Amino acid sequence: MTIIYVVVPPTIASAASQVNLLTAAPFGGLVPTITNTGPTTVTGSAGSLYGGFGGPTPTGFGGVGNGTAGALHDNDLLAQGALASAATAYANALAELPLVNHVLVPSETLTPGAYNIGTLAHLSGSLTLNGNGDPNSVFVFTAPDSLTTASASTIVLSNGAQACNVFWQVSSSATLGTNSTFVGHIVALASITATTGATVNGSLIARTGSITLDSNTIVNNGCAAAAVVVTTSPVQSSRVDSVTPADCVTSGPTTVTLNGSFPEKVLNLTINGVIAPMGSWTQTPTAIVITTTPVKTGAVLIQLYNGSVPLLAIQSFVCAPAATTVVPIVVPTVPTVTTGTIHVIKIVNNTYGGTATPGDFTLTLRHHGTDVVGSPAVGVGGTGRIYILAPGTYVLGEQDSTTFPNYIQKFDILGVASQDVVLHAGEDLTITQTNSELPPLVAPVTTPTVTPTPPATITGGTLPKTGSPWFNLLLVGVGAMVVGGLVLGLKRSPRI
Amino acid sequence: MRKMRRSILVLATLAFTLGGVSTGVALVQIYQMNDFQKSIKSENIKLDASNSTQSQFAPIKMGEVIGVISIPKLAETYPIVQGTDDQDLKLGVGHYVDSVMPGAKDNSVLSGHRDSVFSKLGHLKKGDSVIVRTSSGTFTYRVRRTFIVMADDRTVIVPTPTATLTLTTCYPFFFIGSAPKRFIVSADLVQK
Repeated sequence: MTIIYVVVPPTIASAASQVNLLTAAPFGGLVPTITNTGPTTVTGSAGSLYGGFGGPTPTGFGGVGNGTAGALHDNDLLAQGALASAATAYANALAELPLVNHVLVPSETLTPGAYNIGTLAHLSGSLTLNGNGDPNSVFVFTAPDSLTTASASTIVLSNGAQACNVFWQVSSSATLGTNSTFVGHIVALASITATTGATVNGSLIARTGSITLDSNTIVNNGCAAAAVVVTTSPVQSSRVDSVTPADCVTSGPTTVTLNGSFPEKVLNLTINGVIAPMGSWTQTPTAIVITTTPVKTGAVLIQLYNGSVPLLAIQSFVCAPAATTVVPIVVPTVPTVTTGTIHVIKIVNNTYGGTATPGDFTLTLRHHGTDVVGSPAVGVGGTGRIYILAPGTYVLGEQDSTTFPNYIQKFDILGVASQDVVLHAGEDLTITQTNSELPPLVAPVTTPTVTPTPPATITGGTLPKTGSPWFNLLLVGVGAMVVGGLVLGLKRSPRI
Repeated sequence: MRKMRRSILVLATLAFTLGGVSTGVALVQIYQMNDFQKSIKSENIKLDASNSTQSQFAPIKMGEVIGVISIPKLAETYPIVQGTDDQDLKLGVGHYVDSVMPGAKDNSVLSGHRDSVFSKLGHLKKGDSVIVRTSSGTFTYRVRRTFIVMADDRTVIVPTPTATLTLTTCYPFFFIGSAPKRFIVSADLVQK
């Protein structure tokens, strides 16, 4: 038996009540085949099922250009449950509804009820199912032979009718026309063929033959909530017995184990609201084991269903934080500051018209009487001259200037008139040395008799007098002595 | 008559006495002048670089020592001062201010007293060397010729195309009173 089950109305409380559907055929011993061509989609918010019992793996799903099955259940409990539910509902409906013989005609409207549509049943045009305002109204159609629908034929629900309450029992095979729109659950004894483009709002169940799909859309969102009276199973306390790995991330898929005996079969389940694929979980008499893809982090919610009936309160657990790799924090080594900086600023105040500049003076910076590297050096204004030095005491000095002697020195070490600078490691000190011009000297300047050095010797210079006046005096003195001596000599002469 | 003779005697005595005193004073002065200039030794004259720099840009004061003159043949060394006035010549050999400095490419004129520094200048002959040392360097001159001119001769202190040193002093050397002539020594620079 092969089942494509899109909707499983588990229990229907309606005027039609319970309908027994295809109770005769037991499961097993059949070889179903499911073949798909083209982009078929099988979905349904209440649980989309695709089931084959013991048959070959369905083909034509997955991959580019192929069909997509929301949940494939191959001969599992959920597929069996779906069939059982559908059969029960169908049988119950037939038991309560008078079976009316009615041959389908194009473009007719039917009200809720059970209809025997006869052999070679054929649906064409549009069939409108009028629910008479009752969302629980049930439509049951029994085809003693086969069922076919015409191309582009449609079934329209109106006035409260729901697809979940429409059942088609086909004794041989059913064929849905190209691009037709079909509503309801088909349970065929042999095969079901949905030709290209056919749309089904419901489910397809083939028991002994095959289901052939081609670019179909099979969807069922179940009965509207208000229309369904749910008889819930006893709800067990929420628990998750183990999660491996605990962080849901490490080492591949996460295995969640719920230990204990569950009163009902689990037909499907959701993880964080997403239906888990068939085969990703198993139910045993003592546990339910779910294998899921890693969910990374955070809370994980697992809901078990028997059809659309939650079997348990939501099972939840929180993935433990993934083990984090401890990245050692490398604390950068802060280099020990072993030097300081001294800015030596030279300022020159030319108050009386002087022209000296900082560069005209030479400053020294000494440590224990020894010039530091870069000293002595001419003064620098602005931000000054920069010395990077080891901590210690330094002495700022200035060499005497012969070019600009008329300036008075003033030292300013951090606001103190001193020449000593105490430098600590890491400090950046700024010290200034100011030279202020003094008033010009008013003392009389003696102008020595100076003679410019001639560029050339003059022509016809007078020869210097290189005699001595003492020679003249000597001449006079000798003369006077001679005359005086002669006179005195004549005086004593007897002849005078 | 007797009264006149007495006056003559007084005058004669006075003249003799004053003449003796004057002669003595003159001799002492002449001697001291010689002695003073000879006491100035070349070793005591410093011609350092700082003076050199200054002398190139600043005028030279009168009487300032500008160098040293040495005459090996006479074994004499005297300072050279700027100027040739009496005040300057008392200090040594005078540099004629309107002539170039010794060593320059022109005629540098040095003068000295005939009775002191240049008293033996007459002994110089052609070929003798005269060495002048100033802050600019040491200059060796070779005597080209010696000659005698009148005191008012204007052909001695003249420009020359080459570095020439001209030494002048009064002549005759042993003339009593103002000498009427001048003794001239011309020397050519041979080595710097």
